[in-house]
Amino acid sequence: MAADAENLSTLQLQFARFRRNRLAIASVWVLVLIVLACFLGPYLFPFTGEDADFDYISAPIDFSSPHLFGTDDYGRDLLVRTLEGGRVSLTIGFLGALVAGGIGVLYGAVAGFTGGRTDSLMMRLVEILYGFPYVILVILLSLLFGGGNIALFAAIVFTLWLTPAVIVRSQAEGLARREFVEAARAGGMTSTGIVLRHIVPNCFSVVIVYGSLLVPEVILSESFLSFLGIGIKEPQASWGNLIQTGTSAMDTDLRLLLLPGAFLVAVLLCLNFIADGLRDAFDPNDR
Amino acid sequence: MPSTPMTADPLLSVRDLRVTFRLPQGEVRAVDGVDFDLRKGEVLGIVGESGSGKSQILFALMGLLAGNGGASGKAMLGGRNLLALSPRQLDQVRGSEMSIVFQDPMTALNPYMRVGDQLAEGLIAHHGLSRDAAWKEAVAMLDRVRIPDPAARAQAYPHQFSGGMRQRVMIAMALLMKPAILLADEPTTALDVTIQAQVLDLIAELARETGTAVILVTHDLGVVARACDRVLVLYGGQVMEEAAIDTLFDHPRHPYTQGLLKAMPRMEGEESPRLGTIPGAPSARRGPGCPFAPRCDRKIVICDRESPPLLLEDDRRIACHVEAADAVA
Amino acid sequence: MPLLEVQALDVGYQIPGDGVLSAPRVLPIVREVSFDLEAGRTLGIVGESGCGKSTLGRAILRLNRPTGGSVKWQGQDMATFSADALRRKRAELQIIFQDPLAALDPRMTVLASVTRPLVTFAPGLSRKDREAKAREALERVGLGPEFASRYPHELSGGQAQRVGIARALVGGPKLVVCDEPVSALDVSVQAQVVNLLMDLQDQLGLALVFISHNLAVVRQMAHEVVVMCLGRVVEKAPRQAFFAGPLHPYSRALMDAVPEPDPKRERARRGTAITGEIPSVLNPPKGCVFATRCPLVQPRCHAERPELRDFPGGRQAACHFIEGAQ
Repeated sequence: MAADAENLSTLQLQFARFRRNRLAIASVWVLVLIVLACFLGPYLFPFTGEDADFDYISAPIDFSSPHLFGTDDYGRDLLVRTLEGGRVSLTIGFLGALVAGGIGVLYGAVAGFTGGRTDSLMMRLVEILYGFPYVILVILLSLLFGGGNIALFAAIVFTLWLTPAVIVRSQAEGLARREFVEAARAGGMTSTGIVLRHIVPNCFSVVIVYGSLLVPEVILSESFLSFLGIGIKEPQASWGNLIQTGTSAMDTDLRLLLLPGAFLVAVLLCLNFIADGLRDAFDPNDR
Repeated sequence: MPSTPMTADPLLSVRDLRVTFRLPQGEVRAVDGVDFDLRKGEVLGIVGESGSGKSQILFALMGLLAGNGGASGKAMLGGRNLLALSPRQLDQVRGSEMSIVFQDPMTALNPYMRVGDQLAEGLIAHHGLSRDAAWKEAVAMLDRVRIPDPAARAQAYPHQFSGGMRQRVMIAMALLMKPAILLADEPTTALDVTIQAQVLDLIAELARETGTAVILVTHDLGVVARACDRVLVLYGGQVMEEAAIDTLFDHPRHPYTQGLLKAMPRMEGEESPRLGTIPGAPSARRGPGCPFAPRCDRKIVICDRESPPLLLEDDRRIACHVEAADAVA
Repeated sequence: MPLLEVQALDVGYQIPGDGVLSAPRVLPIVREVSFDLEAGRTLGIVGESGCGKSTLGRAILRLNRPTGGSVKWQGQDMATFSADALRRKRAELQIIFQDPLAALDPRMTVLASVTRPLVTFAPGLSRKDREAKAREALERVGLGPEFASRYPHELSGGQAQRVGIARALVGGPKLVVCDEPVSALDVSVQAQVVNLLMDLQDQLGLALVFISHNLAVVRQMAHEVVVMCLGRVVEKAPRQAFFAGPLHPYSRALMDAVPEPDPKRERARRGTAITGEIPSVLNPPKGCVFATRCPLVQPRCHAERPELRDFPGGRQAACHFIEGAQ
């Protein structure tokens, strides 16, 4: 194998492959734009998403008015509300994926590497948790953690770490048998060291691909719960509760559904294309 | 001197075989102009290290190259050029005139079918035999390849066989169709030493009995000495030397052949404190000259510039500028 | 005092019992193996699939746990080492693997792989010092500084094996177990690595346990040869005596089966390969381990397992029909 002037690690080669996937890169850009819009956009406006503007109650879409996409029943600007809602949903989404992924990866890596009875026990626990009906579990956990947004976040994470754990566990099991792990043990490494330094980094590709699918799952989760009324509470906006409001007004006023729906769909599509691109880039058949 | 004169009635005649692979970083020439003849009933060994292109020769002949590979040149069997056949024509040739045995028998056998059924399949499809007749022939062939209790074993599944026995089943499958040529790609590399000896002896014996010609690809010169009549030494996709085995092993002339023989540890004969080595490693890079030149300790200026022609000299064919120069001198 | 003393070593794996409710049973992989090894010497262990040689190699390093017998390192029984002490002792007892590329973490550079063991073996050293030692080890195996930043996928098989050797050497070992280290390499590269190991043995006084199925390579490297079959030692002999005339029928069969690049020898041997399949480890034969395939087999061989007996010249063999036991 010819060595290039700069040695490319496996990771760098994989990302180079990802960069060649135009759909994935375009999705990255769109996502970045949406994130910037949600976090910085509201500063461009003289009002917030909670300010009621009595001059413009239920205003229609009118690009000449100060409220570009109209207002809702309370006179709150729909665009700003959607952007602010995006802040909440995206934060919960990415942060939640990170935490759920992190817990799942560690749990799975330890279970897969240790094997034997410990592995069986750990996985039985996962299976039991899988058996609980999702919504009931979230409600219970939410109540357990005292209600409120933090509790909601904790509850969502608690249910979503299970799948990354299962996926990483099977990866770890395979890796544990590889010779370089034996070599590490022969080199005096402790089991903890091996899990952290050899197993987890080599699960990276699987984790990244799955992690990028986890983000939409978390966002959808939050949206669903807010939709049910047990998520983010008014007056704070999230895409979930905006969609909830929008759906109940669907027969009469589609505008309320339009913006948050469009944003949510856009983000979900982007994340899915990115996940596809990552999966192709990390294809295990290539090196 | 012309490179390869026509041997008396060769069964298979390969001229200027080239196999190229299209990769994102450019083209790779795996086989770079190989000529040889195969006579009826002879066992020809093709020996080489990684990157020599030895397996690709077999795949090209059988039309089994990967999607991004292409073969050119002539491979004349029964008046037809195998490399120019359509997939359907090749299908007919495969299995009836040419069969192949691979290194890993497990992947070549269907784990969900009984062994007897897999053997009978080809006979029923290509030769139109009834199931009973095909089964009977299958059992007879299993006996021929020395599977004990063949009638019962035919009812078993591949995972119930050991590695050596599975390889024998592969050979049975390959020979059942009575092909003119059997191609074997490293057939014993994955087997234990004692089993390897059995399988090699079996291949050589069956070849003699049935008059099937064999092309045996291997990296092991010992295997060649045991099972083959003639041997082709391949490096960098080109033939370096070709001769009958006694000729080659008694008087190797090509620097690569000599280097390989010096590098092999021996079970008999004098002990040596260190093994002879060839510096460097087989590489995929191809310059304009002789592919072995970067590692050759006898090279002269022309070796890096021009690829040496394959010349016929008395008892062998050899591609080496230095040897040619010596011969003339 | 020998560096390594292995006495009546048994290693087995637990497998599920025969019925659903029955207790798990121990499947013996290595049975009653004994040998000593001195500094600067090489013990060659040969055998075919299922003979237990790889398991034995790992048991010597206590990478798996014996179920019987003992392994003494420099006079101390390894079973008495605490987990921590054992981890630090590993600097002295190292291993190189059959598949050189699989033995390297694909995400670590060559330098990182070779430096890593020093974190445990030389905890007092600064990072710079550790890396300096790693570079020294790489030089010793013939890999220049340009290799330090390479990744495993950029290495050839031979280069990767050298990295493995450098990694084993970096802690200053006294013994290195070589588990089929050249089987996956091309012939010309094999010769380079064999020569390298022999040079390193001369320079560093290493004791080597060289596990291989390739008798010819063992002849090149070993001072003493042990032949294993289904977990048991069937013959042990100094190299020259062994290759001049093996005592055990299995050793003889192995030697005859190895193909040599010598057509006359091979022609004489055509058709002499022993018949029969290698017995499964799960169902070892009663009596002599070689009884099912031995050309000299008698009814006694199936009934009674031959003991390993001593013969002149420091040799041992386990067969009923060899004369001249001491």
